[in-house]
Amino acid sequence: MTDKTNILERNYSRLNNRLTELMREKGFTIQALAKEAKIAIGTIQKLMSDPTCNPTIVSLESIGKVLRVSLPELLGQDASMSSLNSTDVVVLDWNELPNALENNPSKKRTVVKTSCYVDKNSFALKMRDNSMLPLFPENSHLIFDPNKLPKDGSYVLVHIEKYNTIMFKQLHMDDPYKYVKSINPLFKDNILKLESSDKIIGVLVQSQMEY
Amino acid sequence: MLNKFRKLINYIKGLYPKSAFRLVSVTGEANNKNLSITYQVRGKSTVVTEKPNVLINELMVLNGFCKEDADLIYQLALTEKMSPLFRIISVIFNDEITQFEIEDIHTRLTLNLSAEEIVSSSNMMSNFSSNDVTKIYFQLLNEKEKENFRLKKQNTIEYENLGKVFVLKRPETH
Repeated sequence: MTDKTNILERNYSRLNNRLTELMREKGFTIQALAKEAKIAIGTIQKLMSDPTCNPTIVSLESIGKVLRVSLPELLGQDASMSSLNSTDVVVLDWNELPNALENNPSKKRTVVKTSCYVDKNSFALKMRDNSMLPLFPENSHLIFDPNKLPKDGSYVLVHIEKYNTIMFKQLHMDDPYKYVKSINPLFKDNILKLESSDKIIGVLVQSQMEY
Repeated sequence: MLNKFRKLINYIKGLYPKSAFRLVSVTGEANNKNLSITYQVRGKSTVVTEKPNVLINELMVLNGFCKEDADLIYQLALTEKMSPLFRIISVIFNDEITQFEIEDIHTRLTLNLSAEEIVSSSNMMSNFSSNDVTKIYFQLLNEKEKENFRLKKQNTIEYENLGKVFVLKRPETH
């Protein structure tokens, strides 16, 4: 099986069973559901039996509307659980790093909520420039896990000893060397080789956009 | 026939004279698809709140506004209609795969999908803003580049191993 098939199975394998269950619960036949949701009968049959199906979000939404269930519920993702599992992560100031929580633990700070699994020492920062566009626009919240192991391509918060500064960059590993760089093409010349004295403070687990 | 039509138009114009209504306030945001317009019947204390697209559909009501107000209502309705249906609210960096948390602006439902899944969904891409589309393609390109690099590295190792076998089997030239 290809990687792509695995990805799709991961997301839609529960949909097959969940859709069959919901149709039984709500008393819908395949034909009735197809008519109400304005979707081809073949598509519904595929959604019920094929774990590698790749439905459009529009089709899923119209089925959800007819069956009166939310999209996560239809896909077998427990929406209520994910909201219950949200964790508060403190937002730090760039100037306070790297030892903000140890130096000033009692300081009142704002928090952001995350549904990702994060370490209790995780913290958030507000993106301060455009060096990591297009993925990380200015003012987006970046949530870092200090205990996560960095990998090639990870986005990391790194302390550069030479300049005594903290940077948010993408990590590139070419054993035994490590490099960090900005992803914005305008900052491409800004590639730094990490020395043994430089320290990775945290690995990015989530970035939240601000609207 | 034409006369009858003209009479009807004049009759309607009489019922709804220009500027019968006055725009009081606009609340919400076009990008959040929650715009609502509050307007007042001139000379009365009655205020009504309505969505801009409803006002446009009710052409009679729109004709009752002055030109500036009517233009603004058209513009707001158009901006709301043209604004994207989906938006990326967060990006999750798992060990295996990076996923985008996508919000349906109308229903506020969220769904986690990878860049590849979003791109392979036929209708989805056209419903994002240009900024979000750039993010998705950037991530997709990143993943493809990484995969190509991995394959290239694997091929190089295999080639080097083949080379070693060739050297060992080379006959002596003396």
